Amino acid sequence: MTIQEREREFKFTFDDFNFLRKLSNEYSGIQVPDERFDMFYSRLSKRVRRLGFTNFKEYCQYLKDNPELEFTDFINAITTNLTAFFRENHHFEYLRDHVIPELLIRNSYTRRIRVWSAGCSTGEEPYSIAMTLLENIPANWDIKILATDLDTAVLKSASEGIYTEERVAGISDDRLKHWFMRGKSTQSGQVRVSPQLQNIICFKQLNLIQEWPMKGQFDFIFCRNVLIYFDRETKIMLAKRYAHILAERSWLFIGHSESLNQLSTELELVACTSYRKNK
Amino acid sequence: MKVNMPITDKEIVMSKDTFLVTRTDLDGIITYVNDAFVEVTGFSREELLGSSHNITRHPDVSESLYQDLWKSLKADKPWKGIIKNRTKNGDYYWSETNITPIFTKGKAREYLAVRYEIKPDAQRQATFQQEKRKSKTAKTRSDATKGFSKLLKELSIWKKGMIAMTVLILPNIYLLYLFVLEKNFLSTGILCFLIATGFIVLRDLLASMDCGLEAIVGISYRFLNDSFKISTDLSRKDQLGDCFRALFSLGVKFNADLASSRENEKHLKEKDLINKDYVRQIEAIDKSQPIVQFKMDGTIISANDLFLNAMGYTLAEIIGRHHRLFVDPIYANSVEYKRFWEQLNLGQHDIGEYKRVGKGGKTVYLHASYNPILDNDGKPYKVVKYAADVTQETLSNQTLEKFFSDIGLVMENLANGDLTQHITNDYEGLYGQCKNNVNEAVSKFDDVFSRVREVANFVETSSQEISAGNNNLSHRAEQQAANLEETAASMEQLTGIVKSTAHNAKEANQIVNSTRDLAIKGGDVVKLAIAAMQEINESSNQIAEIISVIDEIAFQTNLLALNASVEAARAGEQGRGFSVVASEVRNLAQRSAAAAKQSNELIQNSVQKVRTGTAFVDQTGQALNEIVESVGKANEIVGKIAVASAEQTSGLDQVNLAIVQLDEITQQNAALAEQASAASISMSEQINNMIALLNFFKMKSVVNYQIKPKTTAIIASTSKPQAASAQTPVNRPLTKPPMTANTTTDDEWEEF
Repeated sequence: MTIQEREREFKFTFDDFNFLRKLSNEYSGIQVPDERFDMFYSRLSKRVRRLGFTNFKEYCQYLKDNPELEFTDFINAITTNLTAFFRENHHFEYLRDHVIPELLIRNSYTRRIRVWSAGCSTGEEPYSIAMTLLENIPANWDIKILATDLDTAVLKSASEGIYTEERVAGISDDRLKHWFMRGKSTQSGQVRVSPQLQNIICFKQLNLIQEWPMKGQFDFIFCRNVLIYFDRETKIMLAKRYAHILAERSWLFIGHSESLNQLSTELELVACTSYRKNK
Repeated sequence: MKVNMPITDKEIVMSKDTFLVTRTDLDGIITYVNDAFVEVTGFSREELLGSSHNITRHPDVSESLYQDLWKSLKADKPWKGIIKNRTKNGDYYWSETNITPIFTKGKAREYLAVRYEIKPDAQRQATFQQEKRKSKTAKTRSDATKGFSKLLKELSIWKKGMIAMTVLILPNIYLLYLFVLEKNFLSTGILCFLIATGFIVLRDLLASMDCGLEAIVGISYRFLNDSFKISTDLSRKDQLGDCFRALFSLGVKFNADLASSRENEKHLKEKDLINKDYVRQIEAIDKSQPIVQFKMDGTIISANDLFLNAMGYTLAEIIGRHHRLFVDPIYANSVEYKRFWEQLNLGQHDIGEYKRVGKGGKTVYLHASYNPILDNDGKPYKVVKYAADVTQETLSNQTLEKFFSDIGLVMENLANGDLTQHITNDYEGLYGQCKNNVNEAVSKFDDVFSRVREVANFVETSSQEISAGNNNLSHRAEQQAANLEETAASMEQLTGIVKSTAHNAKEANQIVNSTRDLAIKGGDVVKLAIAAMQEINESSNQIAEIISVIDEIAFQTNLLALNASVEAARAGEQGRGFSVVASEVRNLAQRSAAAAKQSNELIQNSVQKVRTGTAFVDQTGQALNEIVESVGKANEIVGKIAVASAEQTSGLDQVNLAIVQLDEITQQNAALAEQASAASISMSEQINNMIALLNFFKMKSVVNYQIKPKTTAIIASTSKPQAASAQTPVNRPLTKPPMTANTTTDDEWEEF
């Protein structure tokens, strides 16, 4: 598919597109192929409209002149956020059946479990991990989940932990009863996650291609449907860094379409899209 | 002090009989000027009084003249001269100036100067000189007095002088005669000289006296004629000189007094005119205004007819009565009334409109002034009241006032929004008409505003509905935009996933392909292995055959060895060695046979194993064939996946494009709906404002309309927050997402 400029509400040229995708790529490493031309228009036209510009050229100039005001909104606008509670449930089953039993033995001395949900989006993934962990690990264990995303808007939403009932439709009644509150009056139609879950999750903004501030070794990392947005070199770099920050023989879970085949020698496939550090 | 003021060439000529009179103190500081001096010099009296007299000094006049003047005056002698003076604006005037010291208790206290007009400039110099001469001879007198003085001279002084001379000279002549007789010529000479001298002196004395007296008489007669302007020799040193100077001073004084009295007379005339004017004015006032006069205690002294008419009393009825007769008894006893008279007694007048009581208790309104009249000591001795009867006007004004007060009340109510109030008092004529018009206008307002409010209420209800509808629309559009955004995000990720899958399939395909190649290679190797196995088998058979030959040979050897042994035994001792060899050979043959047998078994075993291996390799070959077949199938499938993924990608791109376009339109719709919503909310607010404004008016027809609470966003039952939406707008001008963390409270959540 080739990109083509069309008559639209706001004039959007290849030059504008190139400027914007270069800016986004430099910051986030996200690959923006030509096909995303329309997606960019669609996502950013909201900003253009809200800021009262008449075309993208003005928006680009504004972004150039006022990065401190607009850059976050720009990045938030172009990131894709799709997630669900217990998405790709086999990962959570694998957690329950293999990872947790092994961790209970391996970490019995420290009674500590550290998890990273990289690209947590609106929070469904870290909350799902939290539920799985808390359901299967004794209460006296120290469990912490670091949940990061590039998009500050979704992080805010994630930390609030409030979702529509539709989003929890697939969750069992037992789990709902245990881990969620139902909204009433003005909050009708909403659910809120239990503070117990929120207590063990720490939401932070993090740009994966920049330096990572955390030093600790993670027992497992969820980084699902993130790598698909990066180029091969970035994927290799990230795989290497994930392997480095994982504790010995720890796990990395990636998205169902993703593969580390030919990207990493330090991580070996142990289950469907589930990898383990080989030493 | 000489002041260099600008001067002009213009001469001011005084009219005849103009005397310029000034008085100065001994230093020449002006203490008095008459009106004429003020008029001629152009200075104001204020400027002149207290100034040095040289304020009028003209620069043309020589210093010596003034030195002469001051020399005279300091010697207590009068002075006269012709002086050119300047006026304020620099013009000049000539005057004959006469100055005399004025003595009090024998000492000069001040100088009095009187200036007369003189002839125009051209003749001035000559006149000046002539005057000089005249003053020296001092022989000016009027023709009328000439004969009389001559007679007096002849009859009186000369006769008496001659008689006295004769009486005095006769003894001397006798003495002379005696000296001559004694021939005492020295004494005779001395005596002759003395007699001559005495005679001359006496004659001169007589002449002087005669001349002086004549002059004095002349002057006196001129004084009788009110002509005090005299010319006399002021420089004369003898008593006559003193006499002349005294007369001169007297003349100066008289002229000064004359000037003063002339001016006084003029003033008196003017005053008289003014007085007459006053009197006539008072008469005019008397004819047009009620006037009444009181003593300072309030007792009525007099009243004019107009006053009596206004009050309805006769003069006799009120004379000697107190002023309180005309006021309300309550007021008459009040402090205010007392103060009123106290203030009049202090000389303060009182002006205003007074409500007074006439005869029979009728109310009379007087616009009047009470004027305390002061005596020469500034003390009030009576009060004159000038009045104007304004009873009619006042009564009319009161109606007007009442009417305007009524209108004012209605207008005030109108201003306060009360449209229900009317003028209820009855009025006649124009007032009545005006009242009806005002009432009608108010009713019209009431009617119009009531209708406006009805319409406004209707519009308000409609606008609420529109607002609600728009809100709903706005929310739905927003919801749709949010849903689309979510869909777009899904599609976006799906696209990524599919692309990733396609990529992986491609990689798998490559792997499968290489696997197939390896499998095929394996098959080939297997075939070679089978061939090699068969060759091994064949070699084994050959080996077995060779072994059986060897075995045969061994058997034959054994038989031969046995035969040899037998033969050796036959040969005895000689054959014993041979027998040992034969036995060894036999052993070897037997061992060969055993080895051959064993080899045969091994070869048979090997052949058997080779056969089995060949079977395995065959199976392997078959398996590899199957693998190649399967890999071919897998390759096909993976290839299909790759193709499908590519197709999906293309399809997804199209779907994405469609979503993007849909999103575009939805966003625009959402924006428009939001604008419409904002506009309708604003309209609703405006109408509420209008109703609030209208509620300001109190109307007869309707009860004030309750303003509805501010339009709240009416949210559709399907409303859901955009939890999955990443792009929460930074600032929403009108509608907010239904839920934010800041607004949620614990009691809004419950257990499942």
